[in-house]
Amino acid sequence: MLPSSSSTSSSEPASPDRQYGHARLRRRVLVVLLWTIAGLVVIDVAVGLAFRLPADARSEGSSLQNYFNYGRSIEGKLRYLVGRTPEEDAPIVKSGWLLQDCYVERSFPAGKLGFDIYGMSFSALIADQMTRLDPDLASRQFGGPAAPPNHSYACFLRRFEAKRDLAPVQIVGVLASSVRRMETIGGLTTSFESPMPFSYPRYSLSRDGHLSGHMPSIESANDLRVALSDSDKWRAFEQDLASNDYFYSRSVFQANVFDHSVIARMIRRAWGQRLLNERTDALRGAGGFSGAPDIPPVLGAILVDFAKKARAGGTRPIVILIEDRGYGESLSSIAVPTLKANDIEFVATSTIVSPDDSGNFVADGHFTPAAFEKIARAVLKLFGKDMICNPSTPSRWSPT
Amino acid sequence: MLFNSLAFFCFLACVYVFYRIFPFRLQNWMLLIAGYVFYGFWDVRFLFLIAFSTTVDFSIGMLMADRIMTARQRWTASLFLVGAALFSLCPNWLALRGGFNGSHSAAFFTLQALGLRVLAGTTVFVLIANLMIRAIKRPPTERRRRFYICCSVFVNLVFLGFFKYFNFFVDSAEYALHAIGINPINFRLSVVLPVGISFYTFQSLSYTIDVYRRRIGPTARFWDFALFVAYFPPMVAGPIERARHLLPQLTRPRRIRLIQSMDGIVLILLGLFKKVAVADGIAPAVASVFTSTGTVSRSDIASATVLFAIQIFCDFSGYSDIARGVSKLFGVELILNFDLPYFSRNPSEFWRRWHISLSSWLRDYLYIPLGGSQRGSLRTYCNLLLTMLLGGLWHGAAWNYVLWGGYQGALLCGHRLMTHGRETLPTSSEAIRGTSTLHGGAVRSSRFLPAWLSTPLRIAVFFFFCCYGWLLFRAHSFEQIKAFTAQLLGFGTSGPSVITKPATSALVGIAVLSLIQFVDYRNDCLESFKRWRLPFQGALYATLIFILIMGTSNAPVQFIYFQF
Repeated sequence: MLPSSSSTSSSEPASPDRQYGHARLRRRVLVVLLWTIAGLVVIDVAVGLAFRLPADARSEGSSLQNYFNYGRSIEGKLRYLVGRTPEEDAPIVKSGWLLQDCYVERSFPAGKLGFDIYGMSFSALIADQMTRLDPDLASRQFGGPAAPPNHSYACFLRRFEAKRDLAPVQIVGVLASSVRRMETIGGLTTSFESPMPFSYPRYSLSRDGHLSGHMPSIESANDLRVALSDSDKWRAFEQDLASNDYFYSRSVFQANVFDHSVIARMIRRAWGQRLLNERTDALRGAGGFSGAPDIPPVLGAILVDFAKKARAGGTRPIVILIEDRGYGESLSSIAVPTLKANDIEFVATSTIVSPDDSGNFVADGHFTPAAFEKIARAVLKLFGKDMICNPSTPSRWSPT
Repeated sequence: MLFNSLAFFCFLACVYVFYRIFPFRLQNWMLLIAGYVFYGFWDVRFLFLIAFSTTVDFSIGMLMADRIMTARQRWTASLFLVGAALFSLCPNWLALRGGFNGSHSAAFFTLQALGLRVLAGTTVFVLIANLMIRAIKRPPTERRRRFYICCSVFVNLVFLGFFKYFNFFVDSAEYALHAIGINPINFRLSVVLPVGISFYTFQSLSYTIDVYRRRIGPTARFWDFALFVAYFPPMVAGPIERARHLLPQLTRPRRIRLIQSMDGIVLILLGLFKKVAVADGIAPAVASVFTSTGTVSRSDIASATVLFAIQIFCDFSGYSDIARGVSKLFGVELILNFDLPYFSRNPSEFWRRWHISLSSWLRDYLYIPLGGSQRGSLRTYCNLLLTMLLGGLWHGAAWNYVLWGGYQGALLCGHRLMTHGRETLPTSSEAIRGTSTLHGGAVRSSRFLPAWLSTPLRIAVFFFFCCYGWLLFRAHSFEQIKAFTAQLLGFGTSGPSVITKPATSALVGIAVLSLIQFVDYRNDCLESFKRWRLPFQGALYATLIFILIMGTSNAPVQFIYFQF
């Protein structure tokens, strides 16, 4: 704090002690401390003002505006993202809702072989590559941001039970990093920095081996809007999260005075990440998902039931095990034995593109276009292995 | 226990509070126990290695002096070693990872077969050693002193060699045998590398070598020497302390000065800033390129290499700063380890500024014993090359470290050839006092360019060479070195860009750190901001704290030098 003779001579006795005297030294330390605190307050206020989020949640803030607001509480972020009317909602509020997306009727262009694909951005990008590689294919994509298999299964189930027109091929994409979200009831708690409001059921296995799902009370953006303005409903939702969402933590969820300070927000961001990492690590355990013994059987039951129902509906089920960076082959290790045992066709991306090679990924964590193409080709190979019977398909997709 | 973890600061707070309360002797006891707790936090089992090194080097230090070990010294050392084997190796420490509940505690007390074997071996060793030492009646002759120092070097290097290099040498031998068509038996062992083994081994070795050279007298009190080896701030990643610098500070009562404590806190802040905000913020970007096995773009390689140069500096000097800062809180000064290394104009200057405690150690205990520069030009070049090759190998058991050492040696030789040996490695006294001048030794200014232009130019050119060295250091295989080098030289195919953006804290932190370092360089004084007016000092500390808080959300990465 004081002009020492520089640290190049740090082993020499501290001469400033003698130079200044103890009392003066203390005073100087105190003054520096006060200036430091004042500096922190000024920086906090200045950064807070300079990087305020835009008043309209629909307009995308700059990366720095987002950066300094990542640590806002989840409730605080929701109150910002959800408008008073659906028109005022931020785009993220609208995506992934089962009620909204899974009942939509969309027909395929004539003369094309259609397939339905459930999952998240990875599965959508694989579908895009497939249709690019083979223009005779058309896809219908159902999913949510980083949606786990329970979202995909719930979506398929709703379409199946509502007797919607199912495409001849039903594909479910399971993302390794989203498997942990099977222990949640929505996208709020596992992405602290950018929570995704959509919800889905959390499945569990009963003693007799049947799947049962717990659906949260909030099933649409409108439900969320109502809950945010009704404290009783909001409390009930929080209670539901506390009971059924493994990743829920009050310290990062509830809005409070710390939302107003940039420094406090950044500390909460670090805390939120730490909590998330700790809980994810606990779920993953030493290998695979050994820390969560209920995940492998529930995932297996979901995939088996999906295949069973898809076949019952006269369609062909395919599963894509998408193993993204940092997850090795943990997903394959828990899912492949079940898929093989039940004769369900699947593609495991780890056999095509190594999840340990960062050269296969772009900066945002998705595969590179080349990697997506390889995966798409592998899925197309499954298509070609056993031609699909569909009167509207072009001749080369007809049964041989 | 990582310096940048909450657990460490809780640990430090407890140690500091008791340190302020206790009298001198108890302070030392507490620091010794704290050292073992700090190290045992990683793996209790390896405490035995530290205990063995401590006992052997203490005993050899005593035997090399003109006196014999007293019964009390022998008993203390013997019981300590046997106790260490019993404590660290016999219980099942791994069972405690799941917590200390009923089943885990039962498993904990299940005696380990390896532990029992080591305990038996240690007991036999101690008995034989005691019998032999008791038989020594006369002061040692020069020949016997040489024998003792050889024992010390042998024991320390055997441990280091086994735990760090065994698999490396086995792999290399297997590879060589395969190349000539022989399929050898698999000798590979699952050896776990003890954290910081190179650091404490070199520190302990410096004591016996200095006693042998009669530069210091032996330490008569066993526990003082044990504290020297296990003093926790520099224990796992340096600075590599010298006995003649650290031991006197540990054996005499210390006075904690306010100015020293304040300096310590500033150093801790600076170290955390470097590590948490900058190094950890850069790490994913560097990893995204260097963990790729496919082709990446040329700009990715160049950017990742420069970023790694910054990462390793901030990571390692950050650790050294925190170690020095923590030590200052206890009234103990550690060796300066980094002195604005990226302002070096040539390799010789770089090694006076980078990892000073290692380069001076290598100079004193390897380069000079090999003959240094006193046996003709050719021998000098060989000595330089060999010293740097072994320095490279010290860093890690992999050929890319050897290659890096060779590269640094070649740079030093090339520079010596050009300057006709007018520049040298730092002297040990410079390192200990930290008085190596910031602008290096005798460096001629260019005949063609003015100094204001030639100095930045030389710094930039040397930084370029230095960065290529870091590419060799960071690469995970020879294939990657070949591929990346070919791409940088314009050969090979350039792939897609895979590099991720460094964290915001790192980008802002690099700018602030560069400014601080530039001001230090201009003022020829480290931490020259301490001379600023108080409001400016406060503003700087507030900025550092703010950026540090920004960096708290970076994924924590283990200190790079822990693996060495």
